[in-house]
Amino acid sequence: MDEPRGWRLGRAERLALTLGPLLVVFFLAYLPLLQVAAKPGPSTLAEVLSDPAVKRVAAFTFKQALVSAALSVALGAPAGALMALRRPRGSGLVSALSLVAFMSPPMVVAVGFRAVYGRGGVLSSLVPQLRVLGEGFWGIIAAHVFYNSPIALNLVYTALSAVPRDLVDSSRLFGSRLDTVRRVLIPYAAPALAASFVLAYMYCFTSFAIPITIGASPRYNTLESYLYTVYRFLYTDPGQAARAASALALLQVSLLAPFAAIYVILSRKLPHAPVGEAARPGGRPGVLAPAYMVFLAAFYALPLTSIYLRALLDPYTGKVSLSGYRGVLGEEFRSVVQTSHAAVLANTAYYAYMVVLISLVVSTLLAVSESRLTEIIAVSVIAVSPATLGLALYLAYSGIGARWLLIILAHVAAGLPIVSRPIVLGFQRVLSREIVDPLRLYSKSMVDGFLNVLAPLLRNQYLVAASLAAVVSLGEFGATMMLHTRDTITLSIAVHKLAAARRPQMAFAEASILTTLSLALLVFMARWRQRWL
Amino acid sequence: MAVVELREVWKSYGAKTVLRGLSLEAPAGRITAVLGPSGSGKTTMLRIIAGLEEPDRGAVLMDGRDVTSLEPRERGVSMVFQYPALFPHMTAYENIMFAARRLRLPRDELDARIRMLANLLEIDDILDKRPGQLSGGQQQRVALARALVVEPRVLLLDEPLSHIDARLRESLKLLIRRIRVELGITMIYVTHDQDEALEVGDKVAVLVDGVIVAEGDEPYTLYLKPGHPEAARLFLHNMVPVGLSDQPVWPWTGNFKGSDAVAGFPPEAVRLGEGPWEGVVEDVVAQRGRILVVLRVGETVVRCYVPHGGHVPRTGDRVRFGLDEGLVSVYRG
Repeated sequence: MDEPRGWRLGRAERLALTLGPLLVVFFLAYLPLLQVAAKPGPSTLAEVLSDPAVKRVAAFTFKQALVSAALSVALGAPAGALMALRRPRGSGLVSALSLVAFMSPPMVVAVGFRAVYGRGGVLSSLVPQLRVLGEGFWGIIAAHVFYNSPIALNLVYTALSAVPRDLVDSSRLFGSRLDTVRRVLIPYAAPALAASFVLAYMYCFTSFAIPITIGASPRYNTLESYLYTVYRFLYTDPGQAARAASALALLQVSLLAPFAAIYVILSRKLPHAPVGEAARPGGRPGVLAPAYMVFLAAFYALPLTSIYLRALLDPYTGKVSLSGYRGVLGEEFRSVVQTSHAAVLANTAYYAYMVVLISLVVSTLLAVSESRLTEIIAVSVIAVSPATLGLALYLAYSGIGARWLLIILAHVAAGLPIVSRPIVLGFQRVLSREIVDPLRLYSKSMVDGFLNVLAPLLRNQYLVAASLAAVVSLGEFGATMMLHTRDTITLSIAVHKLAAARRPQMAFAEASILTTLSLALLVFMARWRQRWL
Repeated sequence: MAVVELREVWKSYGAKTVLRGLSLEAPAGRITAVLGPSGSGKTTMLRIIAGLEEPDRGAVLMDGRDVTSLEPRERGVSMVFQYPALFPHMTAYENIMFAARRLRLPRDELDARIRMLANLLEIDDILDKRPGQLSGGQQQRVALARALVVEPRVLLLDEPLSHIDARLRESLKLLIRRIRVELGITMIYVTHDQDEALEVGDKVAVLVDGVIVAEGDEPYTLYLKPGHPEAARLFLHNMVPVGLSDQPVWPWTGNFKGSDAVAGFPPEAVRLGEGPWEGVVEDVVAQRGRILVVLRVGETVVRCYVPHGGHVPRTGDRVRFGLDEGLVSVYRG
């Protein structure tokens, strides 16, 4: 019999638990967004919407997002299905590399693609035809597929891993193999396929670092990068710049909101099965499967490894050289980035630390509330692009004056849909009758129960969430670009500045530092074996 | 130990009403077994006594004191669940100690208490193991130790043996009886198994669709004459529709002709080998300690036992039988 579970709480306590996280998300994202909505006024809105440049940018944004999302699903979904159903050799490695790819800082991915496929790239210097993947439209698409195919891979893998073995066995007993695929596997995988397409579309729609680094031309502006250009460079009057950027932000949010709503609906249909429960209909992986695994492993690993290669090799002599690292630590860095490398590292570390602390508290509030509305509102933040978030926070809270605080809040909001997930899932698992009932009977108090039972049981989820929050903060680009000042530059922004100033070896060296930090966190996270994507 | 009393307790989940004015008294220091089919509200009743659920209406009293609004930990109640519900990150010892700390006694005293219970429940050698390393029976005994270590006034047992293999179930039933004798705790034991209810309970109550339909302080007497058709069905009595039957074999047919009356009697009421009626043996089933014979009599089926040392008929045999009419109840409507 389905009876309510959880603590016996009064109406006021329940209301507080629901309202608390709602208020946090409201102040973090929705109140700032209201400021954006109020900013432009009808005339600016009409002006911006009728601007041919905006129409061109919007059309390109839509086109590249659609192609990128379709190709991401086309590459990732078969791999996920293959890994869940046949487990070809190398599945574990591809799975790990795909997660590294997904969590890599956008600037690292952009620089990594140039390192492999761009001018003088590791592969493009051997096969010149591959340069198409290092620049222009197809370069942007390839980098987006690198970034987003892991979503399809992991969601489809998890979905098919959750198919009960009994279901597959009885389907095979009473029907054909095709019946098993049609009636069991496809219904299980369909929400994951749809969710990965929608998620990939949204991420590509709001892409910033990749179009400005790989596209490197106004032709390849997305609404996100154009919003930044409008806000920072197009107007001399800051008020007019804010109004025009707000109009663009509104356009972007309204174009993304339906997709976010669809994702919220789909995300509730996604299973959260632990690894290792796959129902395998049988059969051998064949010859193509290992080849596919090798291709994916190379596709995911090359951009990151090439960053290290390019950072260590002199572009002219081809010999090992530490000049990139020397440049990063020297005066040249200060002249380009306009602050010291130590300050950049200190900013990055401090922001990540604060983002971890705040994200864990907010995620806990979301998890404890057990309210569907709260969860939906947290996930819906995904419709707000990083640049919009940066602009919105600036408009709402610039009076505070502390730009570092706005950057931290932006990182928390940007990471919330991902960071809160392991904690929310952990609470859903742990707050079962098997745990809660004896806890209520035998613990000395609620605090005693939380500290002695819930906290130890949720330790792994918290460690994973903390690592995710730190990785998101390390790599966050869009909001930080909008908000940063000379005193608040982070590693991601420094990589961009070095690449834009045509200091490739220094950019690769700086990107390698950022990659190392992210990788260290991802390796730490992998220890706790919690699924989060 | 305490007298537990439920007074007119109602509980609904959405549109589904689970308890419908349930009233029950569990006497102090005795085991009250509550027998009921799945979905009859057994677990909800226990959770309301424990304070894990709030009733919509009605009251829970312990020794005459209304405890309905008290938190679970304030009621002096322990509960052993259908699932062992041990904390997976703690050893057996730590699980028991977690509950024991509530007594606020010196650590060595708590330790001595745990060792004594571990000895009683024969879990001394598994105290350092985590639940994942224990069998279902071992886990359930640890759960029992955790429930007992807090010296509860009332111990609630929610089908604690349902996931345990038959051999171990026997020894745990005896153990629960022994705990009642040695510690004198008031226990309420719910189960869907009529044999278990009769074996464990000092008092048996039958819960059907959210109300107690039959209860008795002498379980075997209640079993023989439950006084309610649903209770009789749960005790696996023969239920013979008498009013609609055209068969002249039944003595009471004439009295209830045309009604929807049902005659119920336990298999023990049937005397095989002698009597005015005849049936055909459909099946002979060897059960533990007895042999069950299934007879076809006209349109109906009658189940009865071969007494120890008695003649065992074969399938297809025609046999005569009589009835202990004192054990036959006729239920109308």
